[in-house]
Amino acid sequence: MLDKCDRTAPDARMADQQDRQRAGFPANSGRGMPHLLPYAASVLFVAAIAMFGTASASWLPATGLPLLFLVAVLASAVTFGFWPGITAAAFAFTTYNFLFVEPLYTLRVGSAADVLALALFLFTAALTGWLAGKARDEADAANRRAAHLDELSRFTAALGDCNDEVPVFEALVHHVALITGEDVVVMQNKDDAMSLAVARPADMQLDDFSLQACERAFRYGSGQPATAAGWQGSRFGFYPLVVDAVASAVAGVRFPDVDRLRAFEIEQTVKTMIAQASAALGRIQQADKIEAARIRADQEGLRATLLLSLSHDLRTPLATILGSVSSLRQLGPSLPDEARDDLLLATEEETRRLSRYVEDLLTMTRLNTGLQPQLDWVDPADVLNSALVRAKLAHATRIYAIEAGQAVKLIHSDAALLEQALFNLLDNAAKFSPSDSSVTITLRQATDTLQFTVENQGPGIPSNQQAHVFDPLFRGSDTAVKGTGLGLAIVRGIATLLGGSISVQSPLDDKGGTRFALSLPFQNGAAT
Amino acid sequence: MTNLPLVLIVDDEPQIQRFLRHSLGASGYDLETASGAAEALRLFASRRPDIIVLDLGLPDMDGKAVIGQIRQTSQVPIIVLSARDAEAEKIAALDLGANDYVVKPFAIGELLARIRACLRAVPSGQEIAATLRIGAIMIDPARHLVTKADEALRLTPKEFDLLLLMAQHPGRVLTHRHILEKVWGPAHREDVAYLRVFIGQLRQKIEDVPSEPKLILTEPGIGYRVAV
Repeated sequence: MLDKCDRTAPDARMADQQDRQRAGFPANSGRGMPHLLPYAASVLFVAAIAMFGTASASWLPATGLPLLFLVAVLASAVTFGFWPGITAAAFAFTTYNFLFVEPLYTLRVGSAADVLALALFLFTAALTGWLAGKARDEADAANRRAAHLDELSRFTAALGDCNDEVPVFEALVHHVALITGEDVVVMQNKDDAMSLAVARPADMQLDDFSLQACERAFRYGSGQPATAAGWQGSRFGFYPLVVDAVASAVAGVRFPDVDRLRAFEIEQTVKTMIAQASAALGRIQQADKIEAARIRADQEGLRATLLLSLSHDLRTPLATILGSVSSLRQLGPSLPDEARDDLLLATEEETRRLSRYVEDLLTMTRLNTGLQPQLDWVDPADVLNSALVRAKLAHATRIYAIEAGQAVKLIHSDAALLEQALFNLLDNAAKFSPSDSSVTITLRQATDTLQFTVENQGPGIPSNQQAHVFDPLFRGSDTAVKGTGLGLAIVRGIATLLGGSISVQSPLDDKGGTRFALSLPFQNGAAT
Repeated sequence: MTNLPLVLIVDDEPQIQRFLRHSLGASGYDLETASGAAEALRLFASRRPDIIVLDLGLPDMDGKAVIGQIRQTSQVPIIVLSARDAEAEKIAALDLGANDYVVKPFAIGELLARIRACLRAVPSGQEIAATLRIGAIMIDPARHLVTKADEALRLTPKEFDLLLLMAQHPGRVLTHRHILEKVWGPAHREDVAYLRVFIGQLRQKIEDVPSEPKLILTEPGIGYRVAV
């Protein structure tokens, strides 16, 4: 599995092969699989020298021949290491003995000088092979270290782009697998049990021993090395990803069967990667905490704004009511009749306004706290009519023009909520348009949705405000219009609750105008 | 042209203007109303009201800025309308030169009492010489004498200064800072705890039941007010 932090390749396996070569791994790098090529090449070297010796026997001095063979042995030992060198030495001696030492074409050794030559061949081959092998091992180790460092830096870069846990796990699994060439898994604690988060191969199943080792690593926050081959236990080593002294995940790693030096190197690199992944997790969790704190602050801010706005909206009617009533009580006899009537009217109006605010608030609160709609078959035209009756009470002088389409079929919905939503739309349309202009309402049915539109001839809503008109407490720039800033938020809340949607379109022409469209499904999904 | 005191009401809520128009009219005041700061300043300049009732939450300008502008040229009494929870705002308004405040919502009697108190207080040299009275307490500034029901009270000089200051502004709120500055000097402007101690001592001497003061009332977080 390739993580999205890393490159993406169409063929993961092919990319993997390239990755491994880039990371300094020959196709077969384990000692467990002897490679025949170096031996064959060593033998070929020697054979070539033998052929050359035979061909040039006429002019080559006899003392030069062993030196030639020695060159072949040296070349083999330097190029391929200890054992190919020894093989070359043995083959060189045999060939030299067979072809050039009296008695010719036998393997018998004729003289002490020949025995010396053989010993010399073997000794030179062994010494050179050992030295060359050692030098090559060191060069290999240096290359591997460089490759590991390279991989580590690539891993670090990949982590830098991750801003969630899973990509970190994917990057870890991907890069550890490049180092080990074996299965890798990241386990997370879910509902008190360790479960697979990211694995390679993806369909990996852990046996019970591994799961137990994984749980130990998680619980104690300490690494659990793999059980040695041949013993019963976990094949994986499990290492916790510790953030703030708490294990937040566990990486399970299988190590390749290689010599101790390389095993040590691989283990160190893998542990470094796990430490880096832990640090990345810490960073992400910190960022999450900051984000959560920010959201909390935003919510607090919203609540504070809501309270502030409400306290203002509630205080004004209360101030009018208290002021009017106390004036009537205290100044009663000295007030002219019209003044008394007007104070009573003001009290009535403000009490109604207060009651509307409280209703709005309650509806908003109920919508926010999981209100269950009371679904039944409802005649949309009926509901529209009762909303209109209320709207005409609130805006007595307003003309409402209804353009209903053909007879509309029944809708499965909540009549009270629908009426509230429609009233809020009508009220809103009336509030934000000249009092002598008309509000147009249409009712149309499509295949499976019913659409109400409410259109006014107001100045329209600036396009940069349209996204916010359904936000609680949002009020347009026209501050002369009084309201709670909750009306359209309630419409959206109801539309969502009833499985429908609300949208706004403005301006309708060059004179302005705004159209709200409320769409509701005929058959409510929540009921079926 | 009438001789009625002119009250300028500055509030952006038409409903508030509406009931104030009726009740102030019936209480013997002439009335002018403004819905915003600009209009208020214009009316202040053209009509020269005797008192201004100012809501701090105006749409076009902060009410406190209006106080600042008026105070540059005039000492006309200003009563601020404010929310109960806005202590800092009230103090700021009073520090800027507002004479008193009324918390919204209010009963009309409360506002009328404040308006009367502000219109009554006339700062002049002559009145200080006269005898002042708070309830049963008589204060004779010239003789440094305080009596309660004709019985002389023994006050320290600071207690006397404090009582005299309060008595000179009956019915009006005096902020902690204002009292501290007048009695103890500008260096002690922030020593509110100090003031509390002196008010406590003063109440022990002048109040009938010191734990339930009736003469010097506490305005929590703001200051003190002498009852009328």
